[in-house]
Amino acid sequence: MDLRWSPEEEEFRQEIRAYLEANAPKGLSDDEDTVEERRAWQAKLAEDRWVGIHWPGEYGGRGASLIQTVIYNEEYTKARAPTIPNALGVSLLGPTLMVYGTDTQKERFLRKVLSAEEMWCQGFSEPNSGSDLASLKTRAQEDGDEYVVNGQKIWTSYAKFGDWIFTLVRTDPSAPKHEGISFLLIDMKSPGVEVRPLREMTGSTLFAEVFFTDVRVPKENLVGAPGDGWKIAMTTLTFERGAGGLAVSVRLRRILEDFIEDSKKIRRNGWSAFEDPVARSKIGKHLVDLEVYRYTTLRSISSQAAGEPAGPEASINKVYWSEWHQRFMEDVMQIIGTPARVLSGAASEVDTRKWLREFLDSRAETIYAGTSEIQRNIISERVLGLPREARGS
Amino acid sequence: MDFRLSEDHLSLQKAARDFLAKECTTELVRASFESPDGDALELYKKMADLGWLALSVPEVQGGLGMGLVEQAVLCEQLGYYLAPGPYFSTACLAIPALIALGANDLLPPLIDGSKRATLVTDAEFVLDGQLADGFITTAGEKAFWVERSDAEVTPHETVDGTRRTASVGIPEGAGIELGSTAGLQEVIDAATAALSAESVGGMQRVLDMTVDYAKVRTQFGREIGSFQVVKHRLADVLIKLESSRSAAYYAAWANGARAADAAFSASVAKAYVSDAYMWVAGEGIQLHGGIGYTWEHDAHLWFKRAVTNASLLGDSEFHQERALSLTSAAR
Repeated sequence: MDLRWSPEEEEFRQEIRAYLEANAPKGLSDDEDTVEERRAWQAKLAEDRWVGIHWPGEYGGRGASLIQTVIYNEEYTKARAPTIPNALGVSLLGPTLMVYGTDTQKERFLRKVLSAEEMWCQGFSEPNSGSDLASLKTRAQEDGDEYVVNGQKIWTSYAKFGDWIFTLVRTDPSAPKHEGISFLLIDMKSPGVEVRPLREMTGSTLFAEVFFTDVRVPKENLVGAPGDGWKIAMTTLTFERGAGGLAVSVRLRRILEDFIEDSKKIRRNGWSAFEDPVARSKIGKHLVDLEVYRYTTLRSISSQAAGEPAGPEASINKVYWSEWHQRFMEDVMQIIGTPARVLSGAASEVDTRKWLREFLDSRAETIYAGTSEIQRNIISERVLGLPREARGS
Repeated sequence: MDFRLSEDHLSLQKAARDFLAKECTTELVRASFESPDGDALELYKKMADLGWLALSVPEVQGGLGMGLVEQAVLCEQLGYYLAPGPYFSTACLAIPALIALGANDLLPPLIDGSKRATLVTDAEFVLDGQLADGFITTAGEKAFWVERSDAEVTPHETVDGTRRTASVGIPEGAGIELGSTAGLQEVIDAATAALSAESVGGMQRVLDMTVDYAKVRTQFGREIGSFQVVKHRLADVLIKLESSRSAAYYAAWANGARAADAAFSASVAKAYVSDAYMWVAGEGIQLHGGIGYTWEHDAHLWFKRAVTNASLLGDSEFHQERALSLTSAAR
């Protein structure tokens, strides 16, 4: 057990830090009105081989180790560099194609994922298939050299900007539900694809519904064999885990530190919130809880780097950080008090719009990428060996 | 960056587990719980014979020269088996304090288990004061060694019979001066990390006990562990346990290696683990139902240790505040 970074790891950290300092655009939000600027940024990163660094060199990456990827993500977050717009392509689709794609598919798609020349979105969830994803109904019927796709996907981010969507579709309705699913790549410009924006409770429209009506998709866009979709999707989703944990802890720590600064400006009971024993006690507890999350992510990274498979601890981490963020934001709202309810027009010591946005955003985190309830099922069944939930048909 | 326990750590863990499973049975724990002074001195002597009191003592002073991570590994197992007696006060407080103070001549009888000592941080609540042969006390910036014969010891009746306290009155001018207290905070931080590891062991035991029960206890014709409400509570127990484990071992490593965030990580660990152990031990009782509330069932033994550890060496509120004040962002 030695928690220090090695000299090589430190050197790598300095290299990426220096690169981002010199090149990253400043002050670009994650909102959709910055997508084009962020595409240009991602293209620049791809040119310098500083995006998708965990990809092998032949596809434009650096073949970076898990630890290097973790350091990269940590530095990227610390530098407040703009979020890359083709993140789903880089972190999910690309690695999936590397494992399951044909040579033609790899050749056709991978480079353009890294450069953001082709933007990707994800089409897994459906209105009636959320936690029970394998019940999905979007149908792909064979017709000669093509599939004909009919159905609906939901919670698709970047759909408006998407050139392609990787989907799970049902190719065999007579097979048991997990076995009748296939993994299909669909060109968003195909006739019969319709995107309808979804307005979230924050007021933004980051998500969309995607409708497919008699969309014709060449069979060469199938990844893996027909019926392999579920297995492939489960692999895809494990790519979502692992290397990102430390970056999450950096992001949340920055939110906490920003609030500590703001708490010094908020007047409460005749002194600042920072000096108020009640507010201070809450902040101290959140600081402790978040620091513990950092230790746990280091532990997960260390065991994965040593070749132990990414296991159910991903579920533990997901529940922990998403629920931490919600509890913290609830206390932030309470400490700011009445002004926190006002977006503009009232006097306030702090940027209430920013904190309100953060507060509302945090409500999504216990739902996406597996709800807290699903995560707790996974933990109790796969780690603790408790009996499986009784299931309907 | 490697957070995993080494092969050596794992063999120490196994040796401790094998020994304690045999020697520190629940019968022994209960006998100590209900004894006049909670001594369990036979077990203590065996632990001394295994070299456990010398674990983190440098080799030049006759010890095994291991570090704080090894101490944490051992303490975790002691917590799992709820080992009673004065091990923690002598091995994790008094011995490291005497080493920090350079009082090496006082070490041999403590290392061989013939004598016991404790560190006085609050004279009204001295850990294992009823069993100590000597006390390390402080007055201003000076530390002193006080023999039991010079102190007035009033044992307490405590909620946790396996871990007790006493009031210790020290007459003015008693004891021999040992030097400056400057190094004692580091000793206390290290002990805080070790105590957190002990609590992790206790939480693991509560989880094991409760999961086993949930798999065999049936109500409404099903194992209660198949009900989602029970599964989710046990998932939360695991989350708190694994988070506590991360915190305790991070703090053990950081304090052992004297990393820049040693004090901070000790406070983070103690703040988190204090509350987590209490909560977990409470869930252990709840999920056992009525039987868990009886004296006959073991659940309350770990609950009471959780209550004791929660306030020992500073409670969660104290350490949250200390962690906050040690953070640069909070200055």
